[in-house]
Amino acid sequence: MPYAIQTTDLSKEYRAFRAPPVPALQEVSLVVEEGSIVGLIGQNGAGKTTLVKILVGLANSTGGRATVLGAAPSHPLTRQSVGYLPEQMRIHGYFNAEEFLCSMGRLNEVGADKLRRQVPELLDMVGLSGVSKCVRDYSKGMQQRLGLAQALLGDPRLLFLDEPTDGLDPGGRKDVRDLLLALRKNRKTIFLNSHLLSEVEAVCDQIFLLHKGRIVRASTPAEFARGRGEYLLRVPALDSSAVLAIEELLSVPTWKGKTLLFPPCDEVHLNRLIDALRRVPATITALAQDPAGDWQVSVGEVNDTVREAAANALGQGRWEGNALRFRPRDVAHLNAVIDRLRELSVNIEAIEPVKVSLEQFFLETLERKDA
Amino acid sequence: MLAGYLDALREARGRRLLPVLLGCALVFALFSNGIVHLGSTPSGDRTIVLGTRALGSPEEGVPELLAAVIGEAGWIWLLLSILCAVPILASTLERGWLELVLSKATPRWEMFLGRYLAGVTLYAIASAVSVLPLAFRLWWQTGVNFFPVVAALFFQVVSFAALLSVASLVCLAQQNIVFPMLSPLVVWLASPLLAARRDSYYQFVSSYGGRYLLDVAYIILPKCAEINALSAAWIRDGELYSWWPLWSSAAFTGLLLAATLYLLERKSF
Repeated sequence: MPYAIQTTDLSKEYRAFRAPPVPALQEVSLVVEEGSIVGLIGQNGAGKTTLVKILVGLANSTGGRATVLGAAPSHPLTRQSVGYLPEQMRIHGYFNAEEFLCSMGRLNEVGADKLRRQVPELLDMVGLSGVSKCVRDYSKGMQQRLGLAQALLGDPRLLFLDEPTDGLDPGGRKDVRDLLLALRKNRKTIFLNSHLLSEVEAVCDQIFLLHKGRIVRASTPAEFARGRGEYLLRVPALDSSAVLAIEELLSVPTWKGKTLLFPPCDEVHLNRLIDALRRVPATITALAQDPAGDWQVSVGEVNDTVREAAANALGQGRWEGNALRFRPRDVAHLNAVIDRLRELSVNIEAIEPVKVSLEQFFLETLERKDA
Repeated sequence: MLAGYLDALREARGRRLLPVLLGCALVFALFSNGIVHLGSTPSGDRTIVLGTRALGSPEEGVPELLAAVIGEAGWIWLLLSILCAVPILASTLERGWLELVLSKATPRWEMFLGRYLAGVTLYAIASAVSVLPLAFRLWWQTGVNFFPVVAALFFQVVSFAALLSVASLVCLAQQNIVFPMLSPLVVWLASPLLAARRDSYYQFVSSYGGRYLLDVAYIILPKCAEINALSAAWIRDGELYSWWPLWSSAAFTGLLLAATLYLLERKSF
């Protein structure tokens, strides 16, 4: 079965007379499965709208290839199966909602019978049923709802929604969210381009982060729910011996210049650290163990990515009031911490994974890329 | 194409362009009907009277009168219709609206051609409403055939179609409406001057190259002034002296439209 959307090395340059070409998209390759909701996020000017315009056949790419529902985006049959809500939509003021939908339906070659049946349904769905005034008297939110309705005309298999909740009040946003989820149940594919990261996080199955015209990260909400493997352990106030006992369980790596010092650990964890540093990539310049058994790993350069890789491989923890925020090396390590707490008769009030918000993910990824 | 055509007519109605144009055409029709009446000479022969001036017998006076009306209507409705039709063409490519319509299944060229034809229809309707009532009434009262008027209106439509094709090409390059509006007017203004270039520009341009360029411009551009004169002569004399202004303007329209639609299909928005 063909993918709903597939792009291979898709590129787009804006050319102007006697000016160097400006790359808007650079070798964008992505695949979107049918029946999924995909979010496209990125800063202003990252190339999101350009990508959507190419996929709906409004703009031509200057390199690479894009297929939508197995065919070229500009093919009339493809367009008939695609609904599009543009970001900066401007509906002529003299239309009323019904006239506008009929007009758009005719342009999308929706049959007259289907149109007669579908228009009232869609108006009802977006909450504009019974509104007879002209579009010039609509609020921004009402226009956005009408735009959403026109995108759904003809029962499209694939929807491109560029900022669909723009101008909507919280109730309207929830309605749109519910609508998107209902559409997914009907096996519709939705390509969502939004600045509202909470919206994207709430409904999307897959998220692409576009930065300076490139897809720099593809992720899933499960990744955010899993977080970075950190847990928050809430306990009542502990005495110092219990605190020390817990901290012993958690490897606490420390950096001295370019050297990482960490307590004795088994070969598995040592190799995991080396692998993680190589993946960054970081150059390991020395590896030594002192008589007490503590390890020292020296690297060529230390930055946030190296620190994070080391912390992920070794595990770490810190107290936040009565809560211990820690990152176990693995499940066994997590269980060892819990067992030790039980041995110390500590009353565990709660243990929960620390989630990462899409906003945090977004900002951290961009910072890393810019660095 | 029909969807684009109907959509454009609806837009003309919604923007009040069609009602205003029709209203003006009706006023013109009422006025021209009001000042023309059928009188009789002291000898009892029937005569066509324009205001207080007798134009002669119906067989002579009616063609003379209708030729004059067509001549006047030719430029009045051409100018007014340009003002009404160009916004409809240009609005297709307005930011925010073009994303809605050009992402639909109807091919771009069909949609644009539909809107172009709607623009031509506006002119045809306005011209017909302004001229045909008088022609019809005179046919009813005198029996002088009004079909030459219908044919003359068709010639005028060819002239307007050529001007609108200029506007449609300029629309592709410009987001605003000023240049698409001005370009057909410039071509229209140039048409009588180029037609009479031997008596006008040749006085000032003595070089062979310059005169050659003027000749080329004349050959290429629509011949609106000549078509207007041709229409009047057709009604008056019942004879078409030359097909050249008609077919060359029609060829210009066809080529320019083809180029416009080709460029539109390839344009990246």
